[in-house]
Amino acid sequence: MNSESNALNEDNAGYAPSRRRFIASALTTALGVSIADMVQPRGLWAQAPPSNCSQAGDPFVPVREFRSKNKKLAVNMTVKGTTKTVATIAGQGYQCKSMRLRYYAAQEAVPGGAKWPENLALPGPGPTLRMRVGDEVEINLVNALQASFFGRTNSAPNGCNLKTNQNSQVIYPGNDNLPSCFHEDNVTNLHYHGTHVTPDGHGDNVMVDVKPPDGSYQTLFTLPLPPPAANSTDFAQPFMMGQAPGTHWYHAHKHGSVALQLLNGMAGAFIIQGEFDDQLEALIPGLAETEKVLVIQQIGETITIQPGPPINTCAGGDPLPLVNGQLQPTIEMKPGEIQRWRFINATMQQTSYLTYRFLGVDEYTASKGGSFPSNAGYAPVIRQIAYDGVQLAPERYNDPDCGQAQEFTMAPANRIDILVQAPTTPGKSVLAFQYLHGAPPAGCQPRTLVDLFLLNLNVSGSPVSPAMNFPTAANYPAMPGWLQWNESDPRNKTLKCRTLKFNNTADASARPAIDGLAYDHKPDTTQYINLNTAEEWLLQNYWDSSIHPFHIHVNPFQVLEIFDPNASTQVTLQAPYNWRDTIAIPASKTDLATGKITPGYVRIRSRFVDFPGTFVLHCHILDHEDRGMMQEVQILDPKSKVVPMLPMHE
Amino acid sequence: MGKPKKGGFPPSEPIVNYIAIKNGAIDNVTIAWGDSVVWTNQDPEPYKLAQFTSGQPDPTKIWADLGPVNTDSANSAEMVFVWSPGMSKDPIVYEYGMLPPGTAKATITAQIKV
Repeated sequence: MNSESNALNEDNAGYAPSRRRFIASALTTALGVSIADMVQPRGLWAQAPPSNCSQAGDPFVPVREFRSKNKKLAVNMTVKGTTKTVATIAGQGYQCKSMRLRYYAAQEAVPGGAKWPENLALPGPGPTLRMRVGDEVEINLVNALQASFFGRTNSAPNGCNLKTNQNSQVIYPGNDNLPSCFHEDNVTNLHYHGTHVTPDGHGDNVMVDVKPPDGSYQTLFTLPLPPPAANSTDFAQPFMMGQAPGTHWYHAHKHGSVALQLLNGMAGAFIIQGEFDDQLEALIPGLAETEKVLVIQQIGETITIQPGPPINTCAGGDPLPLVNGQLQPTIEMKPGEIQRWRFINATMQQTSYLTYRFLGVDEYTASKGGSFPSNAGYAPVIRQIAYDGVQLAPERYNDPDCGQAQEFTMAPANRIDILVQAPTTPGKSVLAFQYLHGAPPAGCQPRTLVDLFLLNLNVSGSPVSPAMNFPTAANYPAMPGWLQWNESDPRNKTLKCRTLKFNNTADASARPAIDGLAYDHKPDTTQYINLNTAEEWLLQNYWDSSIHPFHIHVNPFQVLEIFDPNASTQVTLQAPYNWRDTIAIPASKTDLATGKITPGYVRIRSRFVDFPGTFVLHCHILDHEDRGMMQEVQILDPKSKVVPMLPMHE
Repeated sequence: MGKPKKGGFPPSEPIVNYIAIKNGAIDNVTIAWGDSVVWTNQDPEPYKLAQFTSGQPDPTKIWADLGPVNTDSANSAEMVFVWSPGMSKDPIVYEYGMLPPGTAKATITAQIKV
């Protein structure tokens, strides 16, 4: 292997102490204990990797948090490239590989502000940003990527990226073309996924390009407070939404390079706190202190492309999902303890569409590769409390199929908040997962994972005292008025129904598309919506090989119905419906005898309030998005002049 | 979208191998099938890299056209080495070198696992 591939970085300032040494250092700093003082849990199948790679079973290490101070969060975020060592378990088992990756180098924009990352050699998310509704957010993004550190981009004759094979055959771009092809790998911007702020100007604006080697862009917005009480009684006034306090995230969103940049790890937690958190803390004192933020990623260096037509993409293969850059870390709890865990699925491909369940070690070992056993054995009990950063209504918290369920599913971009209660005796369990997706596209990584669990849970020590208890049906926090959907409120009457078909283009590229068109930044791939209206949408999936996680910026939506043509029974959803900002549209079913396609579908409704402007909707399998499965959304205020169409990536 | 092809073998997680060209010399590398290669020119001279045919760089099989160091074209785009059913499962050695012939040459060995 060439000598350049190890320990190279743009800064020439990286160092690679061992993973254990780093963890020991972090724990010593954070907890005041040394690694030698702690029980050293081991993963079930830990192997001996190179010393600077993550090992299965290592103690869980939280990502450093930057918190708002005096109602303002100010952070300098610089995008850089460096060589990191990435542990995974893929086709050929455990692997630890050097990869040149893009990442966020961040510092709090206050005197003496903390920095992230602490170790350049380790992969993982950017810093966790934590604030409260009503706070001002200022993020100063600088793109310091050096194009000479990565392969050449935009070198195909049509401006897309070029990829050839050893026989000099062109694998990409084929018939893909701008703006919906892989291109501009080193241009970036930031999306604040789950925020309800203006999409224009210095808000959650993904229409800007921040170019290397020193382009910059400032985000500056205030997170809306809950609307006044009059909101739910004065029907003559426009309806207002607040910012849902919850588990949100930030990530790169430059159309054409979103998949690659998230594959590299360019994402992080964006935690917004509010009244819901206060209510939970009152019910379970100490919950905030032990909270865990778990950013799930599949880290990779390059997107795998299978020649067409049609071209298939499978991003980084099928690596084992990492947690905060760690491979199957171990979380410690006391018997009977309740903790709040915030999961963020910050991956970008279908192979991370997984259902999770805690299993005792013995039960996991006995059932590995098959269905979850009916008896989970030694396992904690969970309660789901939020979906995509929006709290569940009490009815859904108490729903056996939702809040009370002992399994949960996340598509790319989904977030799940759960309360985890450890068993009352010491023991070990794992958070196992099962695939929900079908076989990967041709040429992509076969499903050969053998260690199908995300993390270890080790319960030890004395039981918590006094005993901790989950919220009950009676005392679980009520839904605030602005997150209710009052059917008798005339402002909630759905004025328009739209149908969006997630399919392929009819042209030679046969790219991922919506309504047969790849995003082209023209009116034919734009949805025009009037401000202060409610609409119901039918989202149909015509692919039989993949879900399409639908995501729309700025305004969350309620999910009314999900139809999976491949399922033997359908889930019936009930009011009050869960709020989401990303929902997996089930794959279609093709009758092989007749060729008839029965699409999977999802029915949603949303209120387009508060913010006129331009943003996007798209599939959150991000290679689909980059290649065209995206549309622009323009929210127009009929009372004002038409909002001029923003130039794409100004 | 298609289904996975039968045969073959579980590939490893793909990575990009960066091959530096310095002082007119190129390192030999061994990679896994599915990995990519990017050549990075660190010299002030432009180079053209071609696969060998009959012991000579073949001008009809250009692998990379590299500009001088510190230019936008100093690095190549990714070239991926793809194994397909019917090819040998033994390592395959690819010889290549600079045009004009007689200057540097090097090898890329592609195999199932590195």
